[in-house]
Amino acid sequence: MKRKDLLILVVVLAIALLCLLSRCLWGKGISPESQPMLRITVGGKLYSEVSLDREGEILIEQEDGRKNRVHFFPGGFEMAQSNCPNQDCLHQGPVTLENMDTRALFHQIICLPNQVVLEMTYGGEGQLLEVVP
Amino acid sequence: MNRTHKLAFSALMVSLMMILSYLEARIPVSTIPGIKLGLANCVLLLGLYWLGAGICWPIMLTRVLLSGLLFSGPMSIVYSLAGGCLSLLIMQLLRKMPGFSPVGLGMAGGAAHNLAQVSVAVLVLKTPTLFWQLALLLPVGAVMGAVTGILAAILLKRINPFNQDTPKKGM
Repeated sequence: MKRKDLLILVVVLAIALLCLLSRCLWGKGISPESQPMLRITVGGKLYSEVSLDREGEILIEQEDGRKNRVHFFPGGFEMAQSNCPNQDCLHQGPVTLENMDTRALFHQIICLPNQVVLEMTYGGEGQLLEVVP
Repeated sequence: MNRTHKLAFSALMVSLMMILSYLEARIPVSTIPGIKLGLANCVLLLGLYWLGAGICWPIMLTRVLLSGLLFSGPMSIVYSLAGGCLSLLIMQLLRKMPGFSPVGLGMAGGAAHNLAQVSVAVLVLKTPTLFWQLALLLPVGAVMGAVTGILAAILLKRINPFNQDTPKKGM
């Protein structure tokens, strides 16, 4: 059934490989002393940055009623609760320093309907940064 | 095949696409946003061969609008629209070029759909690192697309709704 179709497969795999490569290289420039942090973005805007050296919870409540509850602990975080319709963000599971290279979504938990992105990042002073009023 | 015939058939295809996408939403394939079977794309693919590219655009747009309003909500319309437009565009271009079978078109359409949706997510969430998800979403989209392409190829051989000479060489 296929002839030139294989060409399409090659192109698709090539682009995918490029993305994978760029993701793998991201981990290289980070010094081992950097403090792992959780960065929360809501609707494209930075919401909060927390140092992952203790345990805690962050409740995100947006004006239109969308709610997410994030649970973080030393070395990782997870979406504890969300009022989004599909609950995918909960099923995506936690992000930890150990699993963030092998998870499907790598270092991120994404709640698409509520536009919340939780990601593992590095550096910073390790303070709690509330940007949204 | 006259215009009324074509119109009625197109409406049928829109309904089919809506039912299929509703049904496959009931079957959870993955928690990763964007991974789905894409069965509705199979219908669009058939439309490209049976009805021609021109009318596939209103079919796709109608389906995106109706599905979004009825099922998934206004926000997801943007994602569906982007996915639908890019995948139809690519499938339409490949249809015109010789040497590609429905499987290839399905693969390209599936991959393009995910590419467009991730791009929209990057724009909306302002998180460029989302592009890394394409490492998984692109091949998975292509595989799902290949499945719909195989399905379409089988149907194209066995069903000829307008008794027309559909090019079947090389399937």
